[in-house]
Amino acid sequence: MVVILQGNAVDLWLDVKENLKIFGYFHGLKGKNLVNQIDKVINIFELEQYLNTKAGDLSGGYRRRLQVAKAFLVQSPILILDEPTEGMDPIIKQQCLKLIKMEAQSGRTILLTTQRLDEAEEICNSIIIIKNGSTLIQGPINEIKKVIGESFQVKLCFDQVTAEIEAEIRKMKMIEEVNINYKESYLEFIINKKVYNPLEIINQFTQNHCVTKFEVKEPSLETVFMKIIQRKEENK
Amino acid sequence: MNDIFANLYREYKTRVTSSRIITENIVNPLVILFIFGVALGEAVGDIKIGQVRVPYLSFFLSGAINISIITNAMVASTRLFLDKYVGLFDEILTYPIKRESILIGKLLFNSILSLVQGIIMLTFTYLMKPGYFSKPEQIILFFLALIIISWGWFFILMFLALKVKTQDEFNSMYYLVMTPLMFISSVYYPLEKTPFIIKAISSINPLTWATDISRFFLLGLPDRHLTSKIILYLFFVIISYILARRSLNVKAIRASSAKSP
Repeated sequence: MVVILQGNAVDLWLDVKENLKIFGYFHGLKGKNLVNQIDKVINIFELEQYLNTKAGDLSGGYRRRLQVAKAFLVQSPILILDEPTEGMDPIIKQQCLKLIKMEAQSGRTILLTTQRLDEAEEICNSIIIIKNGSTLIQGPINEIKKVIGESFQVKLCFDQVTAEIEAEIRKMKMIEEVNINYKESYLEFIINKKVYNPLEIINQFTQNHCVTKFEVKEPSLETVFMKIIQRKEENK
Repeated sequence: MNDIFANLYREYKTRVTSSRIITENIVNPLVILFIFGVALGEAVGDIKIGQVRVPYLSFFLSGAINISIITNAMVASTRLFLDKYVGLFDEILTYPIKRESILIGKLLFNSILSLVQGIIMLTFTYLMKPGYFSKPEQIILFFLALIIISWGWFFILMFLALKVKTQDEFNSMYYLVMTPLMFISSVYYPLEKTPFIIKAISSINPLTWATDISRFFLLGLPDRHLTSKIILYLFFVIISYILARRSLNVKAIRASSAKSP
C-alpha cells in the first residue's frame, strides 16, 4: 500500500531525484527497477528540469507534483491519495487525473480523499460522503445521484438576471435548488424529469426574457452533495 | 535490513547535503576545542585530579566530544521535529517499514558521526599537545564508551522531538534545558572545588556522568563514583530508549487513527 498525504510532505533539503530515490528505497525498490521507475514518473510529471533542484527551492505546485509523483513510483495494489491535485496547474492536474484513472483501470485500488466533487465524479466508481466524521452516504455515483430523484439540472443564461426573473423562478413550485448568479447572469435549478418537462420551462422564459444560452444535464455530484447535506440538516 | 538501510541513507543524505554542513560538523567542534582547550588551557595550566596531573586541553577533550555528541543528537532531533512540521513524518509512518528501523537508522548515522568527530578531535589534541598520549586499549574503550554515551542523548532528544508540538516549545527546550545542562557539569571544569550547589546539581546531570566516564577511559583519572556513574548512565540510556520507542508507537497509532474516517 502507498499513502500520499495532503500538503507538501517532501524532504526539503534533498533534490527531486533523491526524494524519489529514498521513497523507492523505503518501498523496497532498488537497482535498475528503481532507476526506470524514477525516469517514468519524472517524465509524466515533467520534472526533468528540476531533477537536481532541492525540494525546498521548488514552488508549491512543483512540490505537490513531486509529492504525487512518489505515488506512481511504486506498483502497490492499494494507493491512498489525499487531495492529490491541490495546487497543480490545470494541465498537470488533468494528466494526474488521467493517470489515476489508468492506474485504477489496470487493477489498482485507489482511495481518493477530496473536497473537489467534480474530480471525484470524473474519476471515481464509488464514493463515500463524510461530514463531521460520520458517513452520510456511500455507493456507486449513479446510485447516489438517484437519491435526489430522477432529475435534470437546468442552467439558463440571460443578458442580466433581473428581479422579475427571480420572482418568476421563485414562484415555480416544481423547481428545487435554485441558484442565482447575478455576476455571471445565470440561474440553475433542479427539476424532476418524471413529472416535468424542462423544455416547457425554458420555453416560458425565452418568451418573456432574453435567454442567451441554456443547458439541461444530469445533476452534478456537487448538487447532489448539497441536497444530501440540506436533507440531513432538515432532519435534525 | 532494507528498512534500516533506507533510514540510514535518508539520514546521511539529509544531514550531509552540502560542504557547509560537513564543515559545521568538523570545524565547529575543533573551534570549540581550540578556543576552550588551547586558549583557556594556556591560562588555566594543568588540571590536577587526585595524584594525576593532565594538560587542560586533554582534560577538556572528553567534555568537548560530549558536547559534540549532544549537538549531533540535537540536530537529529531538530530534523525529526521539522519532518513532523512539514507532515513528512506522518507519511513515513505509513511506509511498509518497521517502526524501530526509523530510530535505528538515525541512531547508526549519529553514532558514526560522533565516532568520526571523536577521532578528529582526539587527533587534533595530540597534535596540539604532543607527548600526552593514552594507551591504545584506553582509546578503544574510550570510543566504545562514546558510542554508548551517544545513544542516551540520541534517544532522549528523539523522545522530546516526538513530544514537543510547537517550534516555541522546541526552542525553549534547547535554551532552558540544554544550555544549563552543558554548563552545570564537569565538561569545562573539575567539580571538586566548586560550590555545593553546583556540585549537587551536576551530580544528577547525565552529562557529568558521561564526561567523567569517558575521561576515565581516556585519561585514567581517578573517580570514586565511577561504577555508580556507569550504572546511572546505562539506566539513562535504557529509560531514554523506552520513552523514545513508546512515543514513536503512540505517534504511529495517532497518525493512523487520524487518517481513518
